[in-house]
Amino acid sequence: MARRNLADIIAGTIFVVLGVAVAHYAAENYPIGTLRRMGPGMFPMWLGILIASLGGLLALTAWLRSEDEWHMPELPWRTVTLVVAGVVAFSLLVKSAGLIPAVLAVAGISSFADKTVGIVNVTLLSTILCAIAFAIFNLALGMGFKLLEWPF
Amino acid sequence: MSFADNLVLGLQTALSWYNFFWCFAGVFLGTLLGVIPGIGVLAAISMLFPLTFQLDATAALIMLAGIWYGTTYGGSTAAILLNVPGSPANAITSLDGYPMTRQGRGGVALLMTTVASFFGGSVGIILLMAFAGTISSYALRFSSAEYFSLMLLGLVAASNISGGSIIKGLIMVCLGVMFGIVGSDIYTGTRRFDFGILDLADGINLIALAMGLFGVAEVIASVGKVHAQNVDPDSVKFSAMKPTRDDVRRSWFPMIRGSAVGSFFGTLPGTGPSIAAFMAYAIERRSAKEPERFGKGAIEGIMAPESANNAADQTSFIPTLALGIPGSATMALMLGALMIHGIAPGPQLMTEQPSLFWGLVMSFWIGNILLLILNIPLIGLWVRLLMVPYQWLFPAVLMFICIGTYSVNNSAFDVLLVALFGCLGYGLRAFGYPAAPMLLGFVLGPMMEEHFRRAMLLSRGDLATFIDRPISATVLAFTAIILLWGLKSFILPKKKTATPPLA
Repeated sequence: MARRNLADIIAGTIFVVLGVAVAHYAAENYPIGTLRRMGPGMFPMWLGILIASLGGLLALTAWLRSEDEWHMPELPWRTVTLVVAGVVAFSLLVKSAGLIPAVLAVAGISSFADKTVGIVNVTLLSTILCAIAFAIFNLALGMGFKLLEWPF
Repeated sequence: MSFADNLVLGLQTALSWYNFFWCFAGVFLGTLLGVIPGIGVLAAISMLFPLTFQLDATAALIMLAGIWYGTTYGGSTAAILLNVPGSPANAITSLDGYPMTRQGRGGVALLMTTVASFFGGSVGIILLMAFAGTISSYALRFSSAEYFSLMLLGLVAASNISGGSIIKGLIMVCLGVMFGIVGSDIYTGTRRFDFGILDLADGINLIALAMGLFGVAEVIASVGKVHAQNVDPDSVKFSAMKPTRDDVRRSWFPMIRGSAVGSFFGTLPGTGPSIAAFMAYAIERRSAKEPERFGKGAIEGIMAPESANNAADQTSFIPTLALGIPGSATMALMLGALMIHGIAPGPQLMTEQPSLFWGLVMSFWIGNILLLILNIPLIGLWVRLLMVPYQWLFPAVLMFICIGTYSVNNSAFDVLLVALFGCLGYGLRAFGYPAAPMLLGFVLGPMMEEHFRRAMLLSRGDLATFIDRPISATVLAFTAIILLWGLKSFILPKKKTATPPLA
């Protein structure tokens, strides 16, 4: 059955909203100036208008055309969540708790994105990565990261 | 200074222990990351980018460039042995490389592609040495109008050729430009789109953007899809590499044609080693006397693309170094490295920084020779790397991404941005939006705005300045043609054709 590419219609609409928001924000908050003496708002304003027009064109063509073989791509939610959570955990821990907890967090959390790993392997890998991080960044490159800090 | 003086200066620079070491480090790490499927060249360069902050500008560029052409050498290994390209530029090599492995001729294929890579790389370097000077002295007469038009051409070309529809590419470019606007305005100092966040006052960090869009997004896309495989160690023994007389005879012309095709596509904006390899393969197949041999282990089918992608790697430096206008996302990162070290890119680079320019060019020779050594006798080492399970590799990659980003400014906020751009990058990739044009837009956007505003100041607000100047008008005409051509294939229903994924 022929169906419309829903993703393109939604994405196009998002770009229209985004473009209008950017153009509006630029026009409201920054001086536009004249073509001869452009203010800081002129370029972003026109860029926003361009994004909105391109988004509109994308949504419109997707609306008018139906595709035979279009399927919603399947997103690997588990992988996305765990990988991103690992990186976020690193950013939250590295200043307050130090490098070692941060590395343990990013390696420990993201490892489980692969469904086949076991807890023993993950612990082992995370520990090894801590040693590697210390050896490369603190010893070899001399960056002097704080290893462990008591946050309380 | 004469040409010979420049060569001597370049050799002296490139052969200093410091630069030589970083050239070696670059090609070594490039090969390493190139061999591993699931880490493309952009991910490799962004991961190692923070490391180059500790170096001086020349060594930083030498190392980054080494990573760039090193991955193209290394990428053919996985393509030939496992039928999984290590990086997109080598995808086409697996078409005939993998059948050769299955016929027990994998060793021959590895040796011959390394030779082809070296040949193509050499042709590219010679062209770079011959033409960069002429082009840059011509470009010294360019004014802001020409620069704006050239950058526009680069962005439009990049959004058109990156596979998929031109509208999606253009949107990506615009989003990149939008991210580039964040931070202080160069003319008035107004902080734009910082939403009161102090960490955004200086703009979005290039490293965080690149690491997220390419590093994290690539890891997400590869988890559970890349598997370690067993490789027969006997196939890569030195004795198994000896090509037959027939192999050598068949290889010459594909190598020469491939280098020519690659050199041409390397200099064009928006194209790069992937397109070059693809075109070289297509030409070889079309001009072959027995096209039915292709896809079944024809040696021509690996020689042409492997010489083409390495030639393109080198000639892509021509517009980047001679004009200061990068033609691809990777070159945009090179330019970013230059600017972070406080060096203004542009045609004056060659005369103002001769030791940097010629040192870099001569380091290409050294790097290519090092790669020859790394890839033939040490091939066994790289093959063993293919057997490391990806479930051990990707947490390590993520760790390097996190620490690397953090080390640039000691900013935890930048690491948070990596997570954000990682989500964005993966989402875009999943829905068929190319991320590379976004990076190009991010780097070129602020430069374009600057040139546009300067051109408007000079012409007193008259937009006609862009078509009154002949060079600018010609460039804009090309831009319009590419735009119309892209729109035509976007609006008219098209046949399904296989385009290689692009880096």
